[in-house]
Amino acid sequence: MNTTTRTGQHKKKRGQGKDIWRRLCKNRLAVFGMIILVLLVLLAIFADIVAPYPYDLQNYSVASQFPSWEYPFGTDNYGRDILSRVIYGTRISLQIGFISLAGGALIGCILGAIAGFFGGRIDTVIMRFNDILMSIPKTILAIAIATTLGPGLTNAMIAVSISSVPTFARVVRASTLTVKDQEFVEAARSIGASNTRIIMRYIFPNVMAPIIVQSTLGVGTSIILAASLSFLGLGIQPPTPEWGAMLSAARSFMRDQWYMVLFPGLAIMLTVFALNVFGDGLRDALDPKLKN
Amino acid sequence: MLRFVVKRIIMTIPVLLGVIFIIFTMMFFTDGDPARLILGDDALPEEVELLREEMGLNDSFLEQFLRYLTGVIQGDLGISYTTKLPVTTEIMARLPVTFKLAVFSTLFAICIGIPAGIISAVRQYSILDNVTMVLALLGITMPNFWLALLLTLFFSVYLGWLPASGLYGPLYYIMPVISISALSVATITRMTRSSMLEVIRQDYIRTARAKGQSEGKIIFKHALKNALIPIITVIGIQFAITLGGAVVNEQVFAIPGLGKLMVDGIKARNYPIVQGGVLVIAIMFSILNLFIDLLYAFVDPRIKTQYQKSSAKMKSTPVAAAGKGVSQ
Repeated sequence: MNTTTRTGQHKKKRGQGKDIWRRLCKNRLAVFGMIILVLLVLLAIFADIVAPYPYDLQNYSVASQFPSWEYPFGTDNYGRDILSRVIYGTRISLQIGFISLAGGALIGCILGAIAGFFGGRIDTVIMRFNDILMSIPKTILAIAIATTLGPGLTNAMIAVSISSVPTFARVVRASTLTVKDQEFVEAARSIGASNTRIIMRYIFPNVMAPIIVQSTLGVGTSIILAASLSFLGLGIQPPTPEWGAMLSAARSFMRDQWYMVLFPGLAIMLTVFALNVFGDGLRDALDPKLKN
Repeated sequence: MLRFVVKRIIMTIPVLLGVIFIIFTMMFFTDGDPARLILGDDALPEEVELLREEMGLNDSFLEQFLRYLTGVIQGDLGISYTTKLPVTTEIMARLPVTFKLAVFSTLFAICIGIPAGIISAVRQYSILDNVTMVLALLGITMPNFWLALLLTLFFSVYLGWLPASGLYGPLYYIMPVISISALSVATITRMTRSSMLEVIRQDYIRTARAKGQSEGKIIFKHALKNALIPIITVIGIQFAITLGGAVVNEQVFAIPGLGKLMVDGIKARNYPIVQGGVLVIAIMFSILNLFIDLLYAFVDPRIKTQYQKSSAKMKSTPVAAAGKGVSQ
């Protein structure tokens, strides 16, 4: 009996997944975004092989050179190849984007699910705390946290993580509220399932769609937020090739070397663009009703 | 209605207290001894200890927090470590600049975003709609400080039309406002478009068409009025985003605003300034949210009637619903 229900459920899930996949593939822009994302991830993984030079190789004899065949994106004031730095930057920005978002999403989801599921006083406490965090604009909150923790990759990730918690908590709480009174939750409770089991097995799978959509769009926001922190000198420090930090360093030279400002920014834009169109496509694919 | 207003105002107070507490706690645990920072590296340990005692830094966390809180309520945010001036004075000198930038950017975003969204929705799938949507997507994907750098490169360095830094006249506002508001213009455009598209499909629009109402009246009187509600919520969020954007962009354009004050403060470890800056921004944002919730209640008759019918349900329905909308 147990096995039959299991396999039955499995089949249904796979069917649903296929449906979503088919709908996603129909959206050309979303597929385009997905391809760019895959390429960026590959670029990040194989940066050592793809990048023509090490990111920190200083060659003063070619300092501040305009883009050429040898250095397609030009070189910076230390004679480092900007293309290689942008490629290595993919690694750092994607890492920040995904890890900090995953952290924020995890904490936000747990808090939101607890608040929505149990209600009452615990809901009030969590949501009031959430309101407090939300009344500080996201960028300012991240700046304040980064100031407290000090600069660095890990600290920037923590700052970005915490500032994305409130959005997730709110989204998950709202979805949990709509799910928790449905019959299958009641059924699970009647056969004696524990609260943890109900949340993990029955609530989460049903609030997954908004979480996934919020996540794909959130990675882009996190990447921009982290870049802003680095741009202000609060995030990743040079010589690490982070795009925001590169832009910050390039500012002093932009009057004569415009390309130093152009390429890291283009890289941020391309990444966030891919995440956004993919996220939009995913939202439409997950919930066809939402599509206009 | 009055009770809704009063209740909503009272609800803001614990949130603000919470904000003060969180910001104070964060800065409390930031490393660096304030006394040491004020006196400099070559001060004797005894001098530092004396100043610590004088500043009350040896008191417990709770005592220090209560002292800070009392100060904040009286409008005293502490003393700047570097200039030795009251933080309130320093912030008040810089705040108008940042506030103006954020307000202009939000207004600019509304003035461009709403019409663009309406046109896009009315002419759905036209070339105009496609172009608008691509531009909106660009606005969302571009980091605002990068846009600021590109604008400077093009209009100041290459063309030489606009001043690259400072804030001395109307011309100086053009680039900062565009780069700060780009994201908001894009978001408001997209929001207006989807909200309008939803409303346009409603039965009452068909009714208006059927009775021979002119297209202009249908769009502006019937559709826009109803589509406006979610847009108002988004505008509140946009103000927060423009405030954050202003803080970053002041750095690019060397604008002497609150953001520059804060970032300089962070670099000099001048924490009372940072603390005060974050607090003032949070208070501004909370007050704006308050106004938006109230505006919401006036614009949306559903909230008003809901409240009049069952004031007991108040807690769970209109305030929560209205408050929920305003997030980042």
